[in-house]
Amino acid sequence: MTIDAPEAVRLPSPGPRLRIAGISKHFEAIRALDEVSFEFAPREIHALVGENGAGKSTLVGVITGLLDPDAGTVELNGKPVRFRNPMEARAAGVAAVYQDPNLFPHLSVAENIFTGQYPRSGPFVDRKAMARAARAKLADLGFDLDPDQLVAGLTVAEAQFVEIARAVDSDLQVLILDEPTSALTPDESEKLYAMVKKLKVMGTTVVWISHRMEEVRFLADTITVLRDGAHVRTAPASELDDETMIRLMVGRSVVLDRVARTGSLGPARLAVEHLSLLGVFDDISFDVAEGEIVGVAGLVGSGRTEIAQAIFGLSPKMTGTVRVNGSKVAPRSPATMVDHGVAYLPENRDTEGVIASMSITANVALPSIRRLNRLGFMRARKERELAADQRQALSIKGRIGDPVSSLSGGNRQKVAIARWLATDPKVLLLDEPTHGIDVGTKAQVHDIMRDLARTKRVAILMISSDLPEVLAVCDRVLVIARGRLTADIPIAEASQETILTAATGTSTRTEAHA
Amino acid sequence: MRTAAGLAHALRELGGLSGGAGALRIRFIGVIVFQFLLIVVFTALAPRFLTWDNAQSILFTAAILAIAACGQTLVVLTGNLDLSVGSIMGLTGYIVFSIASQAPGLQPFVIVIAIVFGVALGAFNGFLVAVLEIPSIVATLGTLSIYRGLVSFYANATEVTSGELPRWMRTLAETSWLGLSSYVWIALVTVLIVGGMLRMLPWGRQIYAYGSNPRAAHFYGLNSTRIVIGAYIGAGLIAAIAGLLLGAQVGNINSLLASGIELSVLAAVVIGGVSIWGGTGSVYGAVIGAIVLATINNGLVLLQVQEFYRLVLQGGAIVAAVAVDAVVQKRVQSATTRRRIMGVEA
Repeated sequence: MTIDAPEAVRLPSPGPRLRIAGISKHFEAIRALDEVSFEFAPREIHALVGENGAGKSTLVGVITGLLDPDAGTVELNGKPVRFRNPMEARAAGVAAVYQDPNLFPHLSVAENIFTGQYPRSGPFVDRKAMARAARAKLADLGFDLDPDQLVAGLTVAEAQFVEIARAVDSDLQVLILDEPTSALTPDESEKLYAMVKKLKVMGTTVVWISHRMEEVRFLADTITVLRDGAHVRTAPASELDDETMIRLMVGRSVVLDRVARTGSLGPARLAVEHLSLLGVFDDISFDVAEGEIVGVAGLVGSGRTEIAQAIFGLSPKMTGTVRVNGSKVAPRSPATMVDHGVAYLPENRDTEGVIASMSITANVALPSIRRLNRLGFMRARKERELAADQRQALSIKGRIGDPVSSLSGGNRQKVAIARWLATDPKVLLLDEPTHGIDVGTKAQVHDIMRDLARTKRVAILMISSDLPEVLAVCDRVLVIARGRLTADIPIAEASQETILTAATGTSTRTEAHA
Repeated sequence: MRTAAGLAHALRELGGLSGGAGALRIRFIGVIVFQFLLIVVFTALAPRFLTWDNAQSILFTAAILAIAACGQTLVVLTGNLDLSVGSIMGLTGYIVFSIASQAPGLQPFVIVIAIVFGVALGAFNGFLVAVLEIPSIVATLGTLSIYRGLVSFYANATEVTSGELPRWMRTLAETSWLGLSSYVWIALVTVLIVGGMLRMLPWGRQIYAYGSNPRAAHFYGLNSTRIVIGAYIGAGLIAAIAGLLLGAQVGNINSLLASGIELSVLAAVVIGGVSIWGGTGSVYGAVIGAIVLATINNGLVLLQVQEFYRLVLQGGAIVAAVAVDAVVQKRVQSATTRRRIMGVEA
C-alpha cells in the first residue's frame, strides 16, 4: 500500500517514544491524513500546529485508537501498536484530553477520575480508597479540588483539570492535549503550563495542540507543522521563528491588513435607540450606515450576542426602538426581521447556523423558499442555480449536493453566510463569523464582508472576540461591557488597548455602582 | 400548583448559588418536602388520615409500586425507559402461577421460575435497545404489547383462582411482621439491595456514569451495550418478582394482571427525582415517589374524590416533576459546556 511513501526523516534521537509512519486516513472523499511520518522523542513537549482541517485531531484519533487509519503504523517505544479504543491506548500509557470535556456531570470528581478502573475491595467499589487516591493525584498535579464534589458544580477549567488528572498515571508515556487552554483564563493557563513542564521532567512526552503562537513558543521543545493532512516539518522550536511557522501552516504568508475603505457611507440602514432587556442589557443606542462594517467588541458574556439576537427578534420582551431603512420595526420574531431584510448569523454554526444533514443546496435555499416556489412547489432547478451561484461566489469547497456535515468548519460557515446572502439582505448581523476557522478561510470571509459592504451596500454589524480581526475589517467599533455600550470608536482611533480599556475598565466601575 | 412553582423558584435561587451540584441536592429534598406537605394538607382535610392504621395501608399500597420502581430506576438511570414493566409483571404472575397450579411439585420454586422469566424478558428489551439501537420508548412500547399479547394467548380467557396459588405465597401476602405487612418488609429489603448494588458494585457506578454522559462513557472504555442490557435484565427480574407478589395479593389472576401499572411506576420514579435524562437519582427517591403516589391515592379515597381526579393529579405530578428536572438538567449541563474568554494578545 505504501510503496511510494517518502523516506521518513531520520532523526538522530536515541529511540523515539512514539513514531508515526506513513499514516493515511480518508473520510469519504476528503483526505484527512496523507502518509504522515514523524517522531515524538521521550521527555519533550511537542507542539502540533496547523490550520483547522490540517489533520491534527484526526492524527490524535488515530494514535489513541478512536479512528482506524487506512494505512501506516504507530510505534510506541519501537513496537508497533494499533489500539482499538482509547482505553487500550491508555492502558499502554497513551492518553489524550480532548477539546471538549468528556466527563460525567452527575458524578463526583473522584468517580470521574476512576471510572472504568475503580479501586476494589472484593466485588465492591472501595469508595474511601477512591477518594483518597483522587485527592493524592489532584494534589500531585497542584490542583486544589475536593474529590467528593460533583463535576456539575465545577468551572470549565476545573473540569479540565479533572480530565487531566484522569489521564495522568504513573506509567503515562504520552499525554496529548488538544487545545487545552482555549477555555481557560490566563491564570488557569499558567497552572496548566506548570503542570505540563512538571510532567515532562517526570519523563512524559507531552503533545500540545494549540493555535496560540506565544503559548507554543513558551512551551514547546519541538514543533511539528501539519498542512492539509500532510506533514510539513518537524524541527526544534529554536529553529522555527513565528513568521516561518505561520508560513508553513498556511503555505503562504497571510497578514491581516487594514484595508482603507473606499466609497462613502450612505444613510443609516439600521438605527436602534434605548434598547433594554431586563438583566441583560440596558439603554443601547447606535446606528449602522449603508456600506458600513461596525464591529462589536467586549468580553464574552457582556451581552453582545444577546443584543444582536434581540435586534433579530429573538427577545420579544426587549424595549426600545429599532429602525430599518428609516422605518420603525417591532422585532417580535425572526420572521418579521427577515421580511425587513435583516439577517443574523449565529455564532454556533453547527447547531444554529446550518442544518448539517441536508445538502448545500437545501441549506442555501432554505430562507429563500418563498421566492423559489411556484404554486407551493419548490423549483429544483432554481434552487440548484442559486446554490451554484453562491458556491461560486464564496468559493465553497464540495459539490452542491453534498451534505453540509461533510464540509470543514470554514466551508460550513460559508454555507451559513450563503444562505442569508441568497435572500439579498440589507442588514447583516454576524456573530463571531470566523471563530474556529483557519487563517486562509478567515481572510476569504473578510473579503466577502468587505465586498458586501462596498458593492452591495449592505450594513454589517460584526460581533468578534478577535481584536486583530475587528481592527482589520471594521469601520467603527462599539464596545459592550456588562450590558452597556461603553465606547463608540472610529477605526482611526481604535487599537487593542483602547478597546480593551472600554471593555474591562468601565465594567468594574459599573459593578461598583450596582 | 403553587408549591410546585414556589419550589421551582427556590430551586432556581439556590441553584444559582451553587450551580448544578446544588440543584441536584435540592431536587431530592424537594420530594420529601412535597410528601410532608401532602400529609399536612390531607390531615387538615380528613382527620382520619393521620392514624397508624391508615399509614399501614399507605405503605402496603406503596410496597409493590416501590419494588417495581426499583427496577424501573435501573433503566431510567441509563437514560432509557421500560414501558413493558406492567406486561412483564402480568405475564410472569399469570404464567408462573398457572404452571405451578398444574405441576404442584414446582410450587416451592415459583420465585426461581419467575426470575428466569424476568431475566429473559428483560434481556429481550435490552437487546432491542442496546443492540438494535431502537429508541427505548418504542422498543418497550412494542414489548408492552407483545408480552401482554403472549399472556392473553396463553391464558385463553381463563383465570388462575386463589385456591390454585401456592399456599405459602397466599400466607406470605397476608402475614404481618412488627405491625407491617410482609410486602413492606420485602420492599424495604429490595430497595436496600438495589441501592447498595448501585452504590457499591462497579456495575452500579457504570450505570450512573453511562446515564450521565454516554459519549464520555465510550471514551472511558465502558461497554455501553453490557450496561444497558444489564439494567434491563435487572428491571425485568425485579418486575417478575413484583408480578408474583401482586398475583398472590390479588388472588384470582387473569391475563390483565398489572395492566396499566407502568404509568404509576414511571410516575413514582420521576417524582422521586430520577432524571428522565439519566445519570442522577436513586432508588430511595423512587421509593419516596411511590409513597407520594400511594399517599395521594389514599387521601383522595378518604376525601371520597373520584378516580378521575387521581389520574389528573398523578399526571400533573409527573409533568411537574419532569419540568423541575428540566431546569436541573440545564444547570448540570451548563456546568460542563465551554465558555470562551476574549482572545487578547495585548
